[in-house]
Amino acid sequence: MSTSEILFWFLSVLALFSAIMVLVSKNPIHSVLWLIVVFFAISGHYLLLNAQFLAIVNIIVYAGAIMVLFLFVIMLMNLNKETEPSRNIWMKFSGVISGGLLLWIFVSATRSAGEIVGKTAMIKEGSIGLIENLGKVLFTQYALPFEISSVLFLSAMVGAVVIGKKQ
Amino acid sequence: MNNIAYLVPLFPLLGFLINGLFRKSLSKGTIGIIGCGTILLSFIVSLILFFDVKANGGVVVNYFNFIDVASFQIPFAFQIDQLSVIFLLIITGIGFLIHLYSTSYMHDESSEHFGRYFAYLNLFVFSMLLLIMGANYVIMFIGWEGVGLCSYLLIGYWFKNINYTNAAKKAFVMNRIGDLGFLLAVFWLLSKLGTANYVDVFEQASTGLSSTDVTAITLLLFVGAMGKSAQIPLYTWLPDAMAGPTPVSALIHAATMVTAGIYMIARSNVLYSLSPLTQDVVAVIGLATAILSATIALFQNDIKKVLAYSTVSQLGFMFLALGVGAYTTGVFHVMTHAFFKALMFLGAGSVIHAMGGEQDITKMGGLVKKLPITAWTFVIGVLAISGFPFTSGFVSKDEILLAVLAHSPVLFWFAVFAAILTAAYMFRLMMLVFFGGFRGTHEQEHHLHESPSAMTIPLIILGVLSLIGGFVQLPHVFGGEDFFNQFLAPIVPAVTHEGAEAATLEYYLLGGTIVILVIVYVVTKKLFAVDRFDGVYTGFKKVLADKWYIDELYNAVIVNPLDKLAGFLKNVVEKSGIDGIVNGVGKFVNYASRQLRLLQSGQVGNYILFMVLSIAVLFLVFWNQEIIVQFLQKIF
Amino acid sequence: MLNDFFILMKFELLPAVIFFVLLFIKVGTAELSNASIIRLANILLFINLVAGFFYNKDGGMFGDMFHTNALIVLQKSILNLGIFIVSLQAEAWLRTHKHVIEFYLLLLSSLMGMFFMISGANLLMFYLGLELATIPLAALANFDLEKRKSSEAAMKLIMSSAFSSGLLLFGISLMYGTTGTLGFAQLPALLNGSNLQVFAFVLLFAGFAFKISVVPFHLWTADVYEGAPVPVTSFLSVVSKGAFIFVFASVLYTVFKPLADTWYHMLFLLSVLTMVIGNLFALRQQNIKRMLAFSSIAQMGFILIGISGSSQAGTASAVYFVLVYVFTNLAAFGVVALVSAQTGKEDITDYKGFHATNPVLAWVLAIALFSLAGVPPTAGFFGKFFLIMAGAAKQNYWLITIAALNMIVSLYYYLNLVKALFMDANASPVPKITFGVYAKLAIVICIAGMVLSGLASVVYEYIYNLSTGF
Repeated sequence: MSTSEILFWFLSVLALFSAIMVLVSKNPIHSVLWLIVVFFAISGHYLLLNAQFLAIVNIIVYAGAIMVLFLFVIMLMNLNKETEPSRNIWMKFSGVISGGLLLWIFVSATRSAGEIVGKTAMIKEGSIGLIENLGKVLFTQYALPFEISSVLFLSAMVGAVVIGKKQ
Repeated sequence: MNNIAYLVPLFPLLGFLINGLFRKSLSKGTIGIIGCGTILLSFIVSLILFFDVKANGGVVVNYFNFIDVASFQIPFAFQIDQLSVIFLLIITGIGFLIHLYSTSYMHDESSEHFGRYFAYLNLFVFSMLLLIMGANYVIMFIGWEGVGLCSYLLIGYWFKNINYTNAAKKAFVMNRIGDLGFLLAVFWLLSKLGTANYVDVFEQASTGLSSTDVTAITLLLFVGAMGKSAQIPLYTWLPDAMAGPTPVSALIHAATMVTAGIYMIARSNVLYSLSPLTQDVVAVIGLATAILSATIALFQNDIKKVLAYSTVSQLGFMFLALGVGAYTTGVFHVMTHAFFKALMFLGAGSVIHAMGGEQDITKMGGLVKKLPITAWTFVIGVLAISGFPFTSGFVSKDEILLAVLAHSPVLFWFAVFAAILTAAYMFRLMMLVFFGGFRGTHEQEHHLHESPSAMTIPLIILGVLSLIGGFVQLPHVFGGEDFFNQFLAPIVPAVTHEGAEAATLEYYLLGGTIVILVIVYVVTKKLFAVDRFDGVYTGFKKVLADKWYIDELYNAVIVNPLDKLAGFLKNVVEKSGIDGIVNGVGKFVNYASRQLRLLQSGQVGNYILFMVLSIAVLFLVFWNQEIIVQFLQKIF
Repeated sequence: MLNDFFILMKFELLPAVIFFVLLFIKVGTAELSNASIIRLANILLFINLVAGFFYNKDGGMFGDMFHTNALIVLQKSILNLGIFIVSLQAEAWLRTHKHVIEFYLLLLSSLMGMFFMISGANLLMFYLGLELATIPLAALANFDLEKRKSSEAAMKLIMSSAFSSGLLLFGISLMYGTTGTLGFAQLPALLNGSNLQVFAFVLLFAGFAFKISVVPFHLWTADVYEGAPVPVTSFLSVVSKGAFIFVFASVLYTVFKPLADTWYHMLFLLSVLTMVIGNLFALRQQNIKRMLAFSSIAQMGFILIGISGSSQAGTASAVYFVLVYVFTNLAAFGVVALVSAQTGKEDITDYKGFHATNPVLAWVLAIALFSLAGVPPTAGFFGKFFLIMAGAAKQNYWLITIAALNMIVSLYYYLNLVKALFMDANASPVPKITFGVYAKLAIVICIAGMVLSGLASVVYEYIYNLSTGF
């Protein structure tokens, strides 16, 4: 097994394990911290795929900004183990089963997909994740979506301010 | 002629609408003027049409395409020819007189009900005119149904009396049975020939229809006539129909509606001539009816019932005439019968009015002194119906008898017997009502008075017509000319009697009539022009007075079993079955709704769970959809 | 080139301009009263509506990110009309609201998102438009800031939306992964019906179904419609749904044509479920907004029948029905908005005897309910008629029968409300509602629209000529 494969398996297991721990943890702060681990693992995958810019942006935006925001909210609202609503055990069961069903369907679909079987991943070969190429495409081919996303952020901000402002 | 033909039914229709819609706000005088005026206008137009037809012959006036379906068209058209124009004159002329009479007879009613009466009466005339003027069997049927409806409405005019409404119901139901026959005949005709227009049907009848077709169609049409014109077995409604006001009885149940069957057969003479079997059936049933009802009339104590059975009997005569092929004779007897029967009914109304509502002849008597006009016009009517020489009734009845004789001597003697009975019961009635001593109470005696002129003038006019109406058809031997036959010849064939043989028979009949009338006069004067008459009958007389128990028979065999069946259907099939299913559906939907609502729990987490589950299911179902579709197709 | 830009993107630029005008008013120093802001906004929206009818061209810009044709122009005009009427009806509630400008800002950005989504010929553009359409609505749902129900509605909306958007994006990424392209024009050729593609398609379908409130993805609808302020509910139920239906039909017909058999049966199953369950839920509702929410779910089932017809008539009937639905639903919600703004009453029992105090409004509501039920000669009848005719082209008579049965069931709860309005007596009925010129104008437009689009056959014919099927 090459380094890439070992790293791939390690990061995947780490991501899956952390994701399960997010769901299972009783303390919400623990959930958030585990989620940060997930993001780091995903960023690692990005690096493996030679998408350096995406990896960094992932960490900065997700793990850095959004997760910190979550932590602030949790700490401000003083959420801890006791304030979590305990769910019906049947609900938990059905959640697991339906999620598992979806997972099983997805996995079987993927395994039988002609496009994927027998192909190798473009590790260290693809160049789309590099900042130069990404920038070019973003400002030429995908210029319109890019501008639209700015409108999206603006309106989201307006909405958030309205809701959050002290009356 | 094309331009004004539609006016004839239009006026009564307008009269119906105005009087019907505004009956609460119009005064009795206005209602009367509108009601009578419309019929008078129709009569004038009918006269114009008559002269036009006399000069130029008949015509078919098309208005619009009434039914236009796939392979056949039924136009809304009128056929104004010799036959229909005669009937138009009868209906509008006698109709007008009866309307005039009604303004006085019904003056006790409140103006709202007065308006209702005239509205119905105008509607009736409208329907009858449609029936007569229609150029095809479908328009005739519309009128046919319309007169049935108006008959029901008018019989049950005093609807608060349950007996009257029952009588109306009985009339309508029996009519309906006949109508079924008529409809079947029309459908048969449509399916074989593809048209219901008279012109086309009669042209194609001999080539397009097989003999079974013609026999069946004519028999079915006759079933319709049985219902409408009260022949055996569908005649029992007519005596009960006397529950309606007397002018109604005069117009509908003597002069016009009941003659619709005659008109129909006369119109379809081409078809009937092609089917000797039906003709025999018609003749026999007509004759049987004539005799049966005459026997019953002999022992009735209600003045209107006698006249009712008399009408049934005379209708039998008319059918007899038609059955032996003497179509014009049948139509001629319709005309003369209209004169004298309407006269007698109106006279009876005058008597009832004078007696303060009393209809029992055992309580009358000697009215000739107090009601001279009524009495003497009534006598004229009696003479006419009994066939007193040279009255209109004499001419028509003799013609019938001669036609029957030419066809079959056996039938002839039976017909003579019926004629004798006719004279007998009519003279009995006359003697009991107008002659002898008064048998009623003192108050009634004080109340007796002659009717106002609105009532007596129609009586006089009809009396005159009953006397001289025969002269349009006086046999050659007596110096007359058969104008009537000649006029109708293009449409309706006649049976003519020429030659010396015919002349001899005429003289025999004249002589025989005079002899019989003298005998009947003497006997009835002795028996019935009396001071005391209890009107109670025993033994065989009771059977006749009780109408041969035919009503009771019908009740037992038909009416009661149907009632039971209806009851069963209502209680079991309808309540438990159909209602149960319908309510059950509603209950099920409610239940399903209640159960499903638990799904909407209010928790977002549940919602998302459900979504994920749905995606999984959706995928699985549609990944395997061919298998599932095949499976479903096997089930359904 | 620049001319093209202005003409082709006119529909998107105008709301953007209005957006920025209002934004500058907000951050500027001018202190305008609510009434004047509302007046300004309505005038601008009216200009927006009218300007959309003139001088349109077919064409594309930015590669396959944006394209427009006559049908798309019509669809955008319908949405413009919808937002204008919603704005008119919102006046009563906005009069005393503290965040009038933000309301319009969010509404306009949602509209822009819808426009971009309709015009997009690329899955990425479509996704961005979808997000731009949804996120402002989630904020808008919270605009009854004092009411707890409003916040609850907003939270449910954002959580459900986020989840479904996640699934949708997953589907898009799988689609990209299997075909290598995001463009609508290139996709059909590369679809080969493999399991992964079907799975991706199912996820995509689920995303659409969520937005259109199709059972079983409808569970958020009732809670959100009940909690959000009535103008926002109107916008959600009419404009938002309308936009998604337009995109749904066009995507199914153009991009996923090779999978037609697959999605035909999906549409069949979902439409049956939607109609039946929507009606069954609506039967038991006491809150009028919830009842209208479930009734709109059931209506969506009917639209799916039309879309399943896969023909020119399918697109035409769907667009036509959305037009009729705009008028009908906004009329109904308009009356509810007026009553709710003035008295806060939302229960069906409160509406008993409405006719006695407010005859005009009672009649408007009654006509709208009859139109929703599909009673001739209202426009709703014709809408449903065309939908069922389009659906019948596939000769699936089970579908038609179930649709007919559902129309009967729906008649019950609509007529129940009509009966309460006209025939039931009430000790304390809703008092006389005073409504200003805005509400009057809105009601007039709705009634005129219902009558005209129902009776003037040119409307449907025009739509039919613009549609394409396959």
